[in-house]
Amino acid sequence: MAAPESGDGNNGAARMVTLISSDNTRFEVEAAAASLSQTLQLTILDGGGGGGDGIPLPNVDSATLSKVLEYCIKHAPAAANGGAPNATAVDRAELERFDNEFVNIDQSVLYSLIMAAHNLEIEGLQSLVAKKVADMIKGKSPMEIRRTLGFPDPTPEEQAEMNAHMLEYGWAYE
Amino acid sequence: MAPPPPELVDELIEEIVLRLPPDNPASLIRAALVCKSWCRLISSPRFRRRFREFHRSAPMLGFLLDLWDNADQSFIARFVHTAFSSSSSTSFPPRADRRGFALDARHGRVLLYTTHPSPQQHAPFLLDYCFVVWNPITDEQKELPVLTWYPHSPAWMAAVLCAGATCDHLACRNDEPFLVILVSVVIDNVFVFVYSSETGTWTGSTAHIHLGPTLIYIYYAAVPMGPSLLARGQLHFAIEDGRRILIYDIAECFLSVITTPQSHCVGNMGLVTAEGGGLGVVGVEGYKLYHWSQVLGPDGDGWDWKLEMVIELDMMLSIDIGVPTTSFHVVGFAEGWDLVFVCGSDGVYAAALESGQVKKVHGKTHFYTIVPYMSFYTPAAIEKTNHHVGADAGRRRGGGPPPPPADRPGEPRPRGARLHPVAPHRLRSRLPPPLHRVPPPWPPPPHPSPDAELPLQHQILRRRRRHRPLLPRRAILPFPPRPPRRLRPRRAPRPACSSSARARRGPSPRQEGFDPDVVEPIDLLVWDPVTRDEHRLPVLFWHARSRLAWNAAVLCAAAAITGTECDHHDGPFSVVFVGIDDAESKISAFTYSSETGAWAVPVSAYMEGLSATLLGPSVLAGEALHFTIEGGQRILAYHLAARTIDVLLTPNLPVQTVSLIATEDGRLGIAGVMMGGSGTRLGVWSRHLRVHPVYGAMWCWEQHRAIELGRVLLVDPSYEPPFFVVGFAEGAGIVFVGTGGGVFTVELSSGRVTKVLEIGECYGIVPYVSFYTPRVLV
Repeated sequence: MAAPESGDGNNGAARMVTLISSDNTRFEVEAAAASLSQTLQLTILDGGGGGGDGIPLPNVDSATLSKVLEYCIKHAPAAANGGAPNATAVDRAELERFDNEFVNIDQSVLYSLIMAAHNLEIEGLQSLVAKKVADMIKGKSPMEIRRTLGFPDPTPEEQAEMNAHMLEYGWAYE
Repeated sequence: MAPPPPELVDELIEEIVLRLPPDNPASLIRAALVCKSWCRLISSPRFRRRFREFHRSAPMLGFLLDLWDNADQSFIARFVHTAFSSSSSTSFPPRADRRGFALDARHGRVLLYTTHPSPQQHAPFLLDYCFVVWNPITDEQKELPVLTWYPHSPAWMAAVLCAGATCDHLACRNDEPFLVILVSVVIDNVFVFVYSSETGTWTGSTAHIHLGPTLIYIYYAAVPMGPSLLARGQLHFAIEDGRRILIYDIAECFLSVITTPQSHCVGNMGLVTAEGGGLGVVGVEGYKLYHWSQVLGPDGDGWDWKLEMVIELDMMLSIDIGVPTTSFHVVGFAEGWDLVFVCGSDGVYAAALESGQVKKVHGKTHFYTIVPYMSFYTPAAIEKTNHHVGADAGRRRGGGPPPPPADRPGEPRPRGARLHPVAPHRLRSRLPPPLHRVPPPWPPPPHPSPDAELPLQHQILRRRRRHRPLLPRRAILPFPPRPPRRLRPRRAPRPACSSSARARRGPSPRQEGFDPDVVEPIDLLVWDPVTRDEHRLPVLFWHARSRLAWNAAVLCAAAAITGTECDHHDGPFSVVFVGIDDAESKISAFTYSSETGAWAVPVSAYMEGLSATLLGPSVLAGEALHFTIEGGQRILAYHLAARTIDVLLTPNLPVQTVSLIATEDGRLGIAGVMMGGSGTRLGVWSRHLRVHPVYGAMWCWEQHRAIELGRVLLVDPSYEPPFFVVGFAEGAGIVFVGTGGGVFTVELSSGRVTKVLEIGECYGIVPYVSFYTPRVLV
């Protein structure tokens, strides 16, 4: 998989770092974008990831990492402004639109994404995906939530317990 | 088939569940029931605390509506849960209607005012105030000790707030201390009482101020003031329909009063929180919601009002703006949510001050106030029934509220501890006597054997009730001779009773910098010629500038509620006062109930181009009381059950004057004397709903009957025209026709004309229709 081309070559001043996914794909990105991850930020500040070394990320596969980096590159300029206090309304609306489309993806990718965001400590991405999943499960019954999240079917004991709760919290099932 | 997704770690589940909408408790409950680990997570105290911190301000879980329960003849408070988020499936544990009147809700608690289960005999002018503090989340309630104080005349209000020193007030626990603060206006003095749940007693404050002349009776007669607002550590109460604001500083125990912006003539003003936590007011005029906030004056000294924004209500709502009498009233405000509740003729609307968005939240209009309820509902209760909860939660089983944390032993006393306690009897002796005995604003709950246990005075009162039965007319005066009385005085003479004199005491309004409408006391008396009973109504204040533009009707209470006939003799009665204030283009209807002994909250309607003219005699037809206004050009209809006001145009009829009647089948009708080539006749028209092929359903006036008068009336040449319809006996179908030489009755059914009076001129005939049987003399 090719590295995202943004910022590649036309800005010699930007420091680039290399990230290596679990399946050994190398991604070269600006340090500013990678620094959205609290985990990577420390390594980068220590001077790691430059040149041919690369930072290995054994928990993140290449498909997920490319998605994560897509988010980081888009959000890096705003983050560099210190949480974008002077961003224009247009910029904010553009980011919002991007976020909405960004999480409009297959469920399995969503889970890999939130796990990666959690491991890499990318707060904004984790919050974005968590909100998306919360929106997916809100208004659903416990069984529907289980199916949505791919949980195995409940055991008879669990089912009996759920039924008991349904009696007690009938109003919550509407 | 997609491969099973990777199992999410608990931290991520927490992040997800944290983002569920807080105003929909059901979504959190459902998530908690997904599996054991989710349940353990969601019901843990740590998560519940994070949930509150994440969402910062408590969501509005619902609001309380104060409704009148016809069946029980009592007020009930109904909890209406609501979700303002996109999730449409709102859910909250079902809560039974509470008996009583919801006055306030704050910090997770609802303050209800109830009647005493067993009324005590007190010295005259004293009343038992019973309060209940209810938590809708746990459905637990605490009854406060009874406070004996003057009746709510002219106004009082109470507020509840958490007094927990370490509480963040996002989800106050039941075991946190709380305060209930009662502000009572007695004549022109304001008194404050504070109940502290820690001491378990009421203390009276010596903080009191003089208000000067008050106008409270004009709109809110003998009912509580508007809901309170907590801002800047001060409780604010709107009095006089929002024209002035009482401010009670909780820490300083200090009372003060300010006026609201006077630039607009609005119906009433509600209190809101302004930006930055300050004080703001909103008022509705026509279809515009005005929002002011209190700002520092230009010189930095003193406060000033600044108009913040104007929200066009009709731009947002699909309301029928074709109805000229649609009016809005500010009925509530959700603290922390900047939502103003506005009651229109067809429902309750919530207007968001920040965005200007308006949303319909309830279809019912037949209520008094809205008390929004803000709190977090986090399903800690699941712990009780779940057998797989963690050790920490397991200790809390047992149904009761969780025990207080051990780290708050030396919690300071709640604010308000600096009150100067005053023994109630000392307070009483220091006060001027109240205006008059006003019973509770609603009838007490049904008593097992009322007459047996009620004090003698109550028994007497029960017999003194008068009604206006809709029975076949027997005769006008088939009674033992009585001295003449004013049954329904058109204009009350300046009453000699002390109440009005007191209310008008003090410096003139202008000297106070307060520019109220000049008021005139209306002193009404209900008299039963059969039993000789008299019932003097509490004085009602009305605009002196519209002193002629009112009329009142007396009717059996059952009719006032349902519009149906009643045939019992000693039942309760109602008096409906309808007045036109042309300066404000406003029609107001006040209802007095003999059961409550008080004038209820009036309803008002706005209409352009009103002129303050005489109101004709009332006619009960259908479920509405009708009055002619503007010399018969239009008809004012007050719907008794719906408590709404309509104005109808009278049709163009070939009569000199228009008088209202009710037809045999209960329709509204018009009677008038027609003079013409074909002789003098009494024309009768009635109003029917007809389906027009093009315009659909519409009301039409159809001629009902034409009764020949000429032959009878012209027998004696002294009976000169003009002839006027001067009265109508409801139920009996008898029209009174006045001439220059006397008064005749015309029976609509038979057309028979009888001369009843020789008097040449009379100002109005008020027929009295009743059975006279010995029973009513018992």
